[in-house]
Amino acid sequence: MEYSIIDNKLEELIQACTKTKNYKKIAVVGLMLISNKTDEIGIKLGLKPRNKDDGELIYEYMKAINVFLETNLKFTLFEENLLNTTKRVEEDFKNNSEDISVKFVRPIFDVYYELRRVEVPNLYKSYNNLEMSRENNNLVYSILNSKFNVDKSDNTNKTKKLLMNRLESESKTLQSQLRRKYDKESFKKMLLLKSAQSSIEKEQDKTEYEGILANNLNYQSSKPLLLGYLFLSIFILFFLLTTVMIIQAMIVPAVSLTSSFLILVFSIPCIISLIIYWYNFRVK
Amino acid sequence: MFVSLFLDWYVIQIYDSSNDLVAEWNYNPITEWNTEISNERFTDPKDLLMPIALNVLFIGSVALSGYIVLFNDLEKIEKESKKIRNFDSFKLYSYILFFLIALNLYYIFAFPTFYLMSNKLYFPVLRRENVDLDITYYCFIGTGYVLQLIGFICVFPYAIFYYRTLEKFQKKDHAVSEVVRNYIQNVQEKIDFDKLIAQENLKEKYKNPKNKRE
Repeated sequence: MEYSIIDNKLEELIQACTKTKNYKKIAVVGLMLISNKTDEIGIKLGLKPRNKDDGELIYEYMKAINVFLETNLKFTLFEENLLNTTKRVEEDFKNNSEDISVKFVRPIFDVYYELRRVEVPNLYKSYNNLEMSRENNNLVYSILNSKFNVDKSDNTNKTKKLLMNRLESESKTLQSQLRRKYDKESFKKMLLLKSAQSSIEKEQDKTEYEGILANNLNYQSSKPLLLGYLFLSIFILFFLLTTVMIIQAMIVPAVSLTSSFLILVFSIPCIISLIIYWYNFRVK
Repeated sequence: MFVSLFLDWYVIQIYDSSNDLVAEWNYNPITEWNTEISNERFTDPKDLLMPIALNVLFIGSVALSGYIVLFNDLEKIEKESKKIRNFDSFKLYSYILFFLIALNLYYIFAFPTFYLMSNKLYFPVLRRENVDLDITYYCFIGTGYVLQLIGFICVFPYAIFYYRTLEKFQKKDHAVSEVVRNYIQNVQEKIDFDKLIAQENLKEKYKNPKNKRE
């Protein structure tokens, strides 16, 4: 549901409940909205939803999200103040659920609107490349993706190291920025940086494209390779024929003169096509 | 490639001193040696015994490859139906194309090496005169084998490019974010605002004595 619709409906509900002085209903709805929002944030970050059946409280779940982000991205999403307010609201509701006043309702919506400001980018796809630590957080899991844990290969390439260094320093700058003040764009950038780092580590170089493959520029630019493969096929073919002729020359010495001539004839296109392929189309 | 199996792969011709064709044998991998002009003076060549199973496999993989090229070409299929979601499902097609290439290479290499040479037939062409019998032998590869060579040059680039495209490209998967969105919706508690508002309105209505009388 869109925020504007929720706000309108909430306003109507609050008006109706104020008339009947049923503040409990407002409190329950407010807590449900907080719970839904925290679940959304958690899931988008790749965590399990809050375990309501086992009585996991909302502030506990929020703390788990903070621990997860601190472990992996070195910053926290929810400030201590917000956590304390949520904890107080939940405990008060648990203890005095029959006697709810207007005073009690207000902080619930303070928490809810504060949470709504925390916009977590829906970057689920980035997690394909992310290597998130599971330490200290057994809630982490991959909702759909089995690629979460891929063994890192040893990387000795100097260029890669340099690139990794640069990404690392940029990511540190973003971390300190996020520590000072949360902002969606920095967070998004941070996840993308992390994703890029993981991609380099895993040497995964698949090009993602949207729309039609034929219109993709990378695909278009790879089309001349077809011609390259044609030269490669000519090379393989004549190489085979040359080999056959060599075998024939060895098995039947009587025709070795003819075979030698044919070896020469076949090896010329073989060498030429290899040179053309090697200098023009070889994939480096 | 498919047609090549039904054409002649190797031809033996014998001409007499007046340059008339006195005997001819054509080799085809399915029907073995055939002759239209035979001569009692010359014995038929020995069967080369190429395995029939290979021919069957070859026909099958040519048919499947034809299906891939016509109906599962990565560019065409997307233009027509946009049904590509995951390239992994196309990997099998590239393996079929590779299998066809493997069989094709086997024919190209094995036919002259293992079947012709072992039967004292020469590759790719031989002219030999026999002065005692006053005849001239001609042995040469036929159109079927030449088509195999051409087939390799046509199929190999396509198969490699097909495989490379599958390896290098992947479509952005919007389906995943859709699934995540649905998952969030399922996990979240449903709040029926209209019902809650209606309940409160009714409560208010029946609490008011004026409304009760109405």
